[in-house]
Amino acid sequence: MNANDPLLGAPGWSVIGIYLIVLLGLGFWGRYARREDTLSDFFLGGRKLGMGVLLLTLYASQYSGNTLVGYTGTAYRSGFAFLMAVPFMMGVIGVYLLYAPKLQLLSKQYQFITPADYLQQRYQHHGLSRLVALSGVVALANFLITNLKAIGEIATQATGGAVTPSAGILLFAAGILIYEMLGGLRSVAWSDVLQGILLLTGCLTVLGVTLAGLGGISSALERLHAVRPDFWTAPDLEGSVQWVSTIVIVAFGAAMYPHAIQRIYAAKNAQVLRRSLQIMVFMPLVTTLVMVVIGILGNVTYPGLDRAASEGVVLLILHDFAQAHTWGHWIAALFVAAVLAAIMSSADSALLSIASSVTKDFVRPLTQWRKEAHLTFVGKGISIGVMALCVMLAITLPQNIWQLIQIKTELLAQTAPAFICGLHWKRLPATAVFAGFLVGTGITLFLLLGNFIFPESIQARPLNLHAGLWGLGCNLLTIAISALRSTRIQNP
Amino acid sequence: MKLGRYFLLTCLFWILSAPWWFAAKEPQQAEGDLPFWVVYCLGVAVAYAVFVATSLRRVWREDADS
Repeated sequence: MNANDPLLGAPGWSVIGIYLIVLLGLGFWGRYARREDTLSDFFLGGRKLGMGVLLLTLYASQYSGNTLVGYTGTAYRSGFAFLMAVPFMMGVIGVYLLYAPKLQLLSKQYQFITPADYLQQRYQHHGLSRLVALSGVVALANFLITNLKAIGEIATQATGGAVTPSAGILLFAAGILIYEMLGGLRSVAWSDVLQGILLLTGCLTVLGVTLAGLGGISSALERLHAVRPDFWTAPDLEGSVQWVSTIVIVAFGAAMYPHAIQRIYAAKNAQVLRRSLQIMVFMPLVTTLVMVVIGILGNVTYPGLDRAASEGVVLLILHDFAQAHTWGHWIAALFVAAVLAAIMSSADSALLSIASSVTKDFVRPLTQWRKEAHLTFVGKGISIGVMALCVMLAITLPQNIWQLIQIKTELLAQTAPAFICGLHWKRLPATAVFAGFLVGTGITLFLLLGNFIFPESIQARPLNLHAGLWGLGCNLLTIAISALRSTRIQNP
Repeated sequence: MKLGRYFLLTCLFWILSAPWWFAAKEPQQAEGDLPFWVVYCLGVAVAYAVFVATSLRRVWREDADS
């Protein structure tokens, strides 16, 4: 494929155009369905998300563009060893069960809007709840910037360079902002329904296209064995340690995303949430596994791609398919729409969650504004400001900063003890959790930033365990020691 | 109580999901077959998904009420 050959023909542009118009329509529909001008209605959809909408909004926001583009590139390079992505995506749902049942119940009772609302109600410690809120905002901003950058690159690749990355970022950022400001979470969740369906259809279609092109599964495996026999060897013991470390850190980190916690608050009732999670735990089999298989099989048709080129292996497959079949451009358009859907659904959720946290956790305590309509208006203004800042950073950040900002999951994992231990350990003091959070975050940042600045002397993964896992271990140890000390002081 | 057991079993599944047992072995499969360690890893992943789905039904109410 020539880099300047556009993947999208006229059919592609019409599919993308219709997709954007439908998203705007959903924004207006969300606005029309608004019941009251309150924070709960705007940021949590009035806490009325039913089974189908909740399932698809959880699905679309959990799988970002990284699943469709990044995971295929990693699988292309790592082979079957990247199958670890399947259990780590399931692990995220596994961790929800550790806190969602109680948190969902409490959120109805105390009308929580943000994750920090629960922490403030539980611990009555402003320092802890604001630091955890700040950690969430930083992680989400990072997530938003990454997704915006991905959208720019996809727009450029799909159009053969006709749309520059900056123009792609601006166009889709404006689209997200418009439908989100119109209807808040209601519009975001409804657009996630469309985006979730596109995402699932796109994944399965590309798998079909790939297997058909290689003559079925057996033939594909034979041809893969001929070009990459090394994939048949299992990872060594160090690889297995890293496998488990990745599962633990992704499961605890991704389960603590503020927008995921807010979907727990937004569920209509416990039964709807439980049933949605029961289906969600199987979704990696039809999404993550599918993209990993496509990435691995990319080695058969396109052997020897370097790191950057392997990230675009799906687009290469689709480009060749579009050239070879008259209806291939429609399939390519469907997949590009699916990638855009995956990215936009993650980006809109992150933006809404940042706006809610800044409004509720930082602006409200500092001002005299108590009227919900005023705060909702402020929240919309914050959405515009945050999006403008993130668009600017996505366009201007140099590539070497990327390694540094991709640490969100490891940082978010440090907030897990505050939620999980707080819900199940009734006499756990706030000071112990605060100390644990500071120690865990400090150790994680020391290892990650230390490795970035002094790569020769500080390891980011001592003993093949992630920095965040060392942080999480020390976090829990600090909580246990501080809690025991405080119990002894109270009962000498 | 059930939640504690669920957490321990979750940790066990995460550890078992890695192909520890195949680390030092040479692959024995014919060219057209999936490596056995891949079948093992996928099998554990599916078993884990079934475990979480059934636990969501069994543990949820007890945990919410406790």
